[in-house]
Amino acid sequence: MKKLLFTAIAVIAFSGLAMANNETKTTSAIVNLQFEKEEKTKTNTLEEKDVWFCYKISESSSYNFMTKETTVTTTYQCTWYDLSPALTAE
Amino acid sequence: MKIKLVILFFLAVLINQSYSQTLKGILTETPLKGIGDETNLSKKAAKPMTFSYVFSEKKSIQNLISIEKSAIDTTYIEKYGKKYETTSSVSRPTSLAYYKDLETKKYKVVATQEAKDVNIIEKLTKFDWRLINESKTINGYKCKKATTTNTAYNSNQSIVAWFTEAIPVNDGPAQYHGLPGFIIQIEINDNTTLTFDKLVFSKENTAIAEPNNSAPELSFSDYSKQSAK
Repeated sequence: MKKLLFTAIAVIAFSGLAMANNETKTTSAIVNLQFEKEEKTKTNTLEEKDVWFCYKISESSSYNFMTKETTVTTTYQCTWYDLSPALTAE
Repeated sequence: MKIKLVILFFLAVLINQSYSQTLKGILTETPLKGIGDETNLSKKAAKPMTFSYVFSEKKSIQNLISIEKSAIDTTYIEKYGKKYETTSSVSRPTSLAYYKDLETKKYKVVATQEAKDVNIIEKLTKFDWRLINESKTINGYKCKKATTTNTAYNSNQSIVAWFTEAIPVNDGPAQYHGLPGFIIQIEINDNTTLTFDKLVFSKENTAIAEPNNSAPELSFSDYSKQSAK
């Protein structure tokens, strides 16, 4: 009985994980990240069939009247697309 | 005796008149490069700013005269059938004045940026200028080169100044002063240039009033602490 219960729990847990994994693969993931982090994140997570599309979401230029210089702050947003044949066929 | 006194009086008036003078000018500030994430500046952020300048009786004031405003622009790009939004914001002061009293060494910066008044009062920075054996002509003035490092106001900037001995006023743009002549141009880290386009002397003195706005006078360190909150 105990064995059966543990097996049932294990099956439910694994199927849950599998579903979560599947979900992240079939939808596009959007992350906000600073430009310098972009490459690192891409190399860590990119697979051959994946496409990352990164674009500048905001650019803010602020003039400092004490130093007379303009500070530019940019934020990039990256969207991940799964281009595996199963998804692109539709 | 009376004649001697009258002559002395007229001599004193004459001397006083020959020394009283006002230097007026127009200064252009050109942002060339940005600092931070990107060095490229947008068209709006690179737009030059124009200031009026008046020097008289060891005091000077530099006032922003070009119309500046903060702006937010939104553009869209389309990729893989989706629309993506990019916002570009530029923050600039709508009013800005730099006041220097070379006698009392007082330096004041009064500004309004993003609808917020700022009133900073500081001691004038004493720059350690290094004279360089180089010269060039800027707007008709033969100028000599000098360099220094500006570490005031949390900065660390390489400063190049071009000054002319043809104008016997030891002043210049913004906080810069202390060279044996008038500073016609300042280059800040290759990021910004401040250049006097026109300069005119007049014989009378001009009263220069200390600028003020609704904000309380704060030192730069107190202002920084307040802004960080």
